Amino acid sequence: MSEREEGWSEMEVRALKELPRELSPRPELEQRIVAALAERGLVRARRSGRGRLGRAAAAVAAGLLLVAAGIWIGRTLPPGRARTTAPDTSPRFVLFLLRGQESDRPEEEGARVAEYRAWARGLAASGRSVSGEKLDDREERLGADGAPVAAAAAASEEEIRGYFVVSAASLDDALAVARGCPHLRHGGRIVVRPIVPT
Amino acid sequence: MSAGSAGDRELVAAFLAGRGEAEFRRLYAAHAPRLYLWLLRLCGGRESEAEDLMQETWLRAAEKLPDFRWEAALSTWLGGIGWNAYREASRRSRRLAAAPEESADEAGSAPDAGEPAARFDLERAVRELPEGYREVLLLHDVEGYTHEEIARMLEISAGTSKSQLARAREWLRRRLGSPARQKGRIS
Repeated sequence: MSEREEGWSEMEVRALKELPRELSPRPELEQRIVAALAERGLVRARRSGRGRLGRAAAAVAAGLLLVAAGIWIGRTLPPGRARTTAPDTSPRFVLFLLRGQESDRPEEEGARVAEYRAWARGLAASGRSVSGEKLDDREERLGADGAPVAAAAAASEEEIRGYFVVSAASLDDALAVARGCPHLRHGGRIVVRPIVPT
Repeated sequence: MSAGSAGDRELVAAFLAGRGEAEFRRLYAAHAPRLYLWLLRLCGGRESEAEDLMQETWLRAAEKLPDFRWEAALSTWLGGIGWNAYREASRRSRRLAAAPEESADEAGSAPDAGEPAARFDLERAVRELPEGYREVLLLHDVEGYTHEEIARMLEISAGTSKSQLARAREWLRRRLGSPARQKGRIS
């Protein structure tokens, strides 16, 4: 371009050219965009390096999970990125993991638990707060009077085998996170519920 | 927009290999700051609009990326997608209903240099430019596009681009009370 023909002073030209060229958007925007891309199938949700193992296990029989007591995440993993030192105040969501195709082969459990753990660590590394627990399959129900109540016949379908609590920008974002959970690949279903701040 | 690099090619190749989330995040991290500021300026500093455009830009980019031929820098390509998204959104909201020529009278509403608000805050002043002016000035003076390129992008003549730029600069001078007015210009 010719600055002369535009009648613009050198100082003005320099001032404009020296304007900042970069400004980091809010971290929440990245999560939102990743979720939108995942929803459209343009990005695959984060998967651990053991995904192949997990898929193989599922193909063999039916991945097992959460059948016996064992290792689970068991604690909160702090957001892994150093981009902020402020407390994570993002909305949190519970991902209830409902019974999937279970296996009673103990040797598969270790790989599956590791797969879930790696997935959770991946979430933490991407800046989310994550915690989770595996639940034993024993269950007792109590009525309002404290007396035992028999489980409904179809209750096993809705049996909660574990849960994760994750931070997410929105319910859509949380759903995108849930879609990446290896539990789905093992035939399980996931219920996502927002946590109401109290 | 900055030139492409081998790093960009590696980032894109890694992402397209499996469309992994981690690979996308690396690509995003490399280009989001520049793209976001570009869109934020186009939107006159309206963050929510800029964020919507960011999402739309990345959605389109992720879809079209396999067809990207590297005839331009990746950042330029992304900026172009962002520009198109911005223009479409602007048309939808009818903010571009007035042709650039018709917005010339907006220059008359620019505050005088003596107003307290007219301090040397170039970034803010650019964002406050009337829309038709802001686009031309950003494209020409900040991003380095030629008038011929701007004419194609805005679907106006090169002459109109030049006149809009002159008006935009005059608006900025009045807004900022630039001492350049008194110190003279290169002529």
